[in-house]
Amino acid sequence: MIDEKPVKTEFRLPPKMPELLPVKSTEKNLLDTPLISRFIRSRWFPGIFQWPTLTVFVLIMYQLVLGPASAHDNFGTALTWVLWWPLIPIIFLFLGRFWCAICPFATLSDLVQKFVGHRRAVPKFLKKYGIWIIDAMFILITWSDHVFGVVESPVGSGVLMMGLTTGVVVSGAFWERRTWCRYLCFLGGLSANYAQSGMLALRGTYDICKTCVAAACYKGTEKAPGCPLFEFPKTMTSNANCVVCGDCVKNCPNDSIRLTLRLPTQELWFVHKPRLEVAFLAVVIMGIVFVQNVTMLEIWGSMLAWLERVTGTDSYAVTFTITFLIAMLIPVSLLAGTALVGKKINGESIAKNFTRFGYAIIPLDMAAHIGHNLFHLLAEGKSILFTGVALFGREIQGISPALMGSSSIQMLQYALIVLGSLGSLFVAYKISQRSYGERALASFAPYALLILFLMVVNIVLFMLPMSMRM
Amino acid sequence: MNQIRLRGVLSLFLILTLSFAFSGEALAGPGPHGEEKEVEGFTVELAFKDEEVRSGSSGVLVRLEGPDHTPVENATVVLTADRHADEEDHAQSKSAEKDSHAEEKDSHAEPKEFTLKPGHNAGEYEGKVSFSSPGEWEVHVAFTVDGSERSASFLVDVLPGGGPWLLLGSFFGINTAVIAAAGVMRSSQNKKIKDASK
Repeated sequence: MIDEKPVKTEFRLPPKMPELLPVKSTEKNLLDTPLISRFIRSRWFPGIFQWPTLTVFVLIMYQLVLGPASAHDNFGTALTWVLWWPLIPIIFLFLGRFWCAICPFATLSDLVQKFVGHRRAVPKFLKKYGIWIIDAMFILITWSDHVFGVVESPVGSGVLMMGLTTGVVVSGAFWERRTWCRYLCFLGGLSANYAQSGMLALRGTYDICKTCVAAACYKGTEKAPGCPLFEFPKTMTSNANCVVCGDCVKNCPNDSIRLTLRLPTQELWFVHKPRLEVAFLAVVIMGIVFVQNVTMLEIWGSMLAWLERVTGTDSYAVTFTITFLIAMLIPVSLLAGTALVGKKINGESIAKNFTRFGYAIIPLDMAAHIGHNLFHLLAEGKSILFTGVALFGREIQGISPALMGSSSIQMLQYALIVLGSLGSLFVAYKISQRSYGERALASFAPYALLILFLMVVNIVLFMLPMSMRM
Repeated sequence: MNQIRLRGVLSLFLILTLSFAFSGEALAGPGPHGEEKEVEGFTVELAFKDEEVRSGSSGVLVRLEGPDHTPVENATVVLTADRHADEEDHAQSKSAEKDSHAEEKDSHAEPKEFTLKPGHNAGEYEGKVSFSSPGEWEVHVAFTVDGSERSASFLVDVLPGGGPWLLLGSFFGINTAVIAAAGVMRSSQNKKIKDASK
């Protein structure tokens, strides 16, 4: 499929700034390995992963909507919330946004587009407010999960999936490429944040791209379509919107694309143009992790009863919304308060401080997210097997669904939080060092305190007993 | 023109999505009906929010009255649902049949506990209980008042779930409409391009 639209002239190669182009010619290019190169360039990639994930998605949808009514017995619930959701942030860490390349929603969008797609340009408001829409959707979905019981009800999960599917179909039918994935998908927003902490980087080679006028990576050729997420590898400085689909590798006539491994969080050390909405999402994710943890604690019941007494209502929607708003506001106001202190030290505005250092929260977000979901994967992992064999009329009884003891899981969670906090501290330090020179340490200090505080809160939350999903 | 048509399609999509989202609420049944049992002077009433109890999740309300006929507040009320013993025997006798595995599973699975929350009126407790299949079920209402636990059992006839056909119908309807609209718009666009190139 060739996109005939001309490449916009706004794509200009940035001035050579080695720190912005982490793919240096000295780094090992994974595409130099013949097996990897052949695989990514083959027509089977990424289809060999796309079709199985689409098939599993259909099975999940069938189970969620028409399978057992109780989440405890539903294979779709087990696959979605016990296996897939916990694995997702781990995939982002090791493979960047590769999941997005093989996501069934993306495949569906491509299919709809292929047969009936209008391929209109992405509306300006989506380009401008896309991440804010994603922020809002993420908050709304988390809120409705708790109020309407999406995770604990297979049909509820099915309705969520159907809603997302409908959005994908609309986007694929009317707008070009994967507009949904880039500008609307809440998971895409999350993965864009996490992919910046990820270990995989895809870039064009500076010295080759600077003389290239073909822009085949963006426009596409007869070998493959142009970048589905509207990226131009020639000027890419971030993996936030690279799904590692391999299309640019197939299209590049100069063999310029390089796929390298890097240290986790490395990209966050040198964010060229930090954006408020990305920083805001990073802080919101921390709030969402708080909510998810707090509402699964065994003391949540007594907290709820206390809230009901204080507010004088027993409406769960009201009491949860209050908790939710507080949990969202805590990290946002903590970062804003720290940005105020930062302003006094480094002289930059609160908004700039908030935006710059919001990125430093991402590694801790990721660690807390993995830590929280690790509990579900490791404490309920066997439920995938139990519900899976139930499809064939078999039943497994008297066996704990846990793959690991709760104390071992807790140790893993603490280790993850400590690692994530170290990552966040290092990112905050590098941001200070790069932005404030002599005042680097002084600027770093308040953010270090904030990160340490968030670390302690997360560890305390993981210390308390948690209830299960299934 | 196409812009207007696109807006029209998007508005239609929005309206259909919203009506689809709220259709479940609108179809929810009114007024609970109840059955009463006496346990050590306490009156326990079990009522379902829907007129007919169907497999799946059901809203439930328990009313508790003390021996002096005053509503019992601050009780802990926990429900468990089990397949009724006769149903269990029936299920076992059918174990040779091809589809008996699911029922057998239901009859032996450890019953899940559903803790109710205090309701709108004094002595009322609300929540949800889940029945994984149709048939006769035994719902046990365990309530703890001042540290002593009592329980009452109720037989409930659970009808087959209606199936989420409305949901599926709406989903496929909306998506088919979107795809069809896009297809029509694309073919008319292609036609215009062809005409222009002639």
